[in-house]
Amino acid sequence: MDSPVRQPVLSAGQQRFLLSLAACIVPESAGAPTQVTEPLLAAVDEELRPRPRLQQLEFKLLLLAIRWMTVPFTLRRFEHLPPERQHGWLRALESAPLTMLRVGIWGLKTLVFLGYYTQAGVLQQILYFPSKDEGNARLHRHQLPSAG
Amino acid sequence: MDAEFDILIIGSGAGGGTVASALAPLCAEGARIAVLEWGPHFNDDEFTGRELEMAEKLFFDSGAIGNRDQTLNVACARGYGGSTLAYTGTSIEIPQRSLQRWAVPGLTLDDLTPRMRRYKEQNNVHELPDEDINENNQLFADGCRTLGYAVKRFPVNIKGCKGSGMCNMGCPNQAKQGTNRVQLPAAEAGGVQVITNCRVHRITPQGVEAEVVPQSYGRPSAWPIGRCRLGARIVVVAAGAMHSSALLAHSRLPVDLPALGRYFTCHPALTLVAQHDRPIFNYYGFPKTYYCDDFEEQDEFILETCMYFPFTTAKSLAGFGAPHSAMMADFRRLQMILVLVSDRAEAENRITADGEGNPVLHYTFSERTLDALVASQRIAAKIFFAGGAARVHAPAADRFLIDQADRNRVDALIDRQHLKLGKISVQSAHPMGGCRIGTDRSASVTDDRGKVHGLDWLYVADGSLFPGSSGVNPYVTIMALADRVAESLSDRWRSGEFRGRASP
Repeated sequence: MDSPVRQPVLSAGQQRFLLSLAACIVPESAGAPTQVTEPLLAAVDEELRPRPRLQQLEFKLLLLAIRWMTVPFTLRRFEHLPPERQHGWLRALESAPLTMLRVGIWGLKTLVFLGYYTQAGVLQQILYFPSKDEGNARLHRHQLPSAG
Repeated sequence: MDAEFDILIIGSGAGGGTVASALAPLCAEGARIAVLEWGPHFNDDEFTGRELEMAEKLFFDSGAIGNRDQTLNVACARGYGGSTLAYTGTSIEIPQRSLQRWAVPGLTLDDLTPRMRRYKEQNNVHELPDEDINENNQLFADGCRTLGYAVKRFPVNIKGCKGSGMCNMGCPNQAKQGTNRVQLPAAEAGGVQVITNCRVHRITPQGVEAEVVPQSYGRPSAWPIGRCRLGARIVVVAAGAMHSSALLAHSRLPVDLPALGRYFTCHPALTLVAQHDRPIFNYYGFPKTYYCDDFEEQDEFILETCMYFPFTTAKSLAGFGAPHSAMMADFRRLQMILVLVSDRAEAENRITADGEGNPVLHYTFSERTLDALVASQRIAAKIFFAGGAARVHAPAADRFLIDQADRNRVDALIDRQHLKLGKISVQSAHPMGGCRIGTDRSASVTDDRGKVHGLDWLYVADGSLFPGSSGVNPYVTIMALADRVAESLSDRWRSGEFRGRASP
């Protein structure tokens, strides 16, 4: 018997919007192939899944609010703004007078970083090559971490 | 599964592991002792060094138990060894000035020092040799010395360290001499049972209600999965400051404890990151070698070296987008300093329990703590620049990066108005208080030997005993206080006081 298909916490539309926010938060993820975006979304889903429903709902509401907050001012949804204006809006929210808003943006950033900076390919790009067994040996040999 | 014990110890970290090993000789005299640990006993090869995986497996809430407004995140580990699995093994003795602030009769340096030294010896505590100190640490020491600050080397409890730098994810080489390596195996050899994957739901006058839960990693628990009711003549709660307070609050204790959960402190901390123009040796080698406590007495903060992992580093930076990415682009060029504030014990900062017994943290940053967080960032920035850093990121700066050209303007650029709680989450790995020692029953929970006021069968033996901040990394102080608890219990056992007595 087939095991039931697990529904992601975020809908397809919410996932697409999260990726557009991710492109603003980590510009390298903009237009990244599915080898990068799928693990990012999967990691976010894994992180959200065990959270209480109320927290999941709060996150979805945050996505909704960011998406539509620009409309009264620009007549365009967030994802249709040029990147520099998206950045400006998020920066304003990150320093907003309301602690709740700042915490929301920090949570959003944290989820995106969690999905991005834990990927093996990304760790290689940022030249992070830790060694379980040879850290001291390489230090003693003055062998800096490198891709080669 | 139901069973009877003389002594049940809840938690296996610095407190519980110490009590277990110190009481193990009583097993030869017929005492039935068990340790109940919520987390699993990890196999050696399960410390993979993969950041996300280890955060989820080792820590409650992936290492981020938030306060009510989510401006503070506290890391609490679980597993055979408790938080000693996930610390760096820094073993500083509590200074006289902290004990003076605590002002508990009977709690003196003369009493604690021999205990701390005994455990330091057990745990192979020593300072690192020069050749094992990497540049991330050395540049901090150079910067401090250039500025005239005294820099000290951490005593650390490692044996056979290979310099993985992964201490906070559990040592992959079994080099760190936490209770999982030293005290718990000794306790088990002496006859103490250690039951893992076992969550205690409640302590009642009739016994302890616990549950062995299924776990997909680690060694299987010694007991079958399911609920159990355990009788015990003595219960020692050592589940860590957050969970001990929550467990007692959730339990139906037949005494009024107005200070329970209160006077919580946690060394609120921020990770500061600097960028060099060249790669430095940062993540090869032991991550935490030096500290500076010149400012602890007057300004109530300390500075320590640290080196975290990419995701943890990324979320420690205020901001995002291109400047953030540029900072992260070459991890080898990063240097890090951890600033920790000695926050004061205030009754309003407290831990309660939710309906399921999980800790709920009510913590508000005092003006003094916020000022210290800003002042410590200024000092850290100066140390970075004195060590040769090209750019410094401080969450309380008016810009993402302070360039070296502006090094003389650090005091103006880093300012309280730019420190916005929630923009960056303040971290803590040193939860303390909640079941504080004291003589005044309205402001404390236990006596100076960890016995809960009014209940001669219930003890606490972990960081929750601290009446206030320790001002230094708390691990060996916890061991010393736990040793006092064990000594008291041992005396009572040998006097026959609770031998053969019915369970509470």
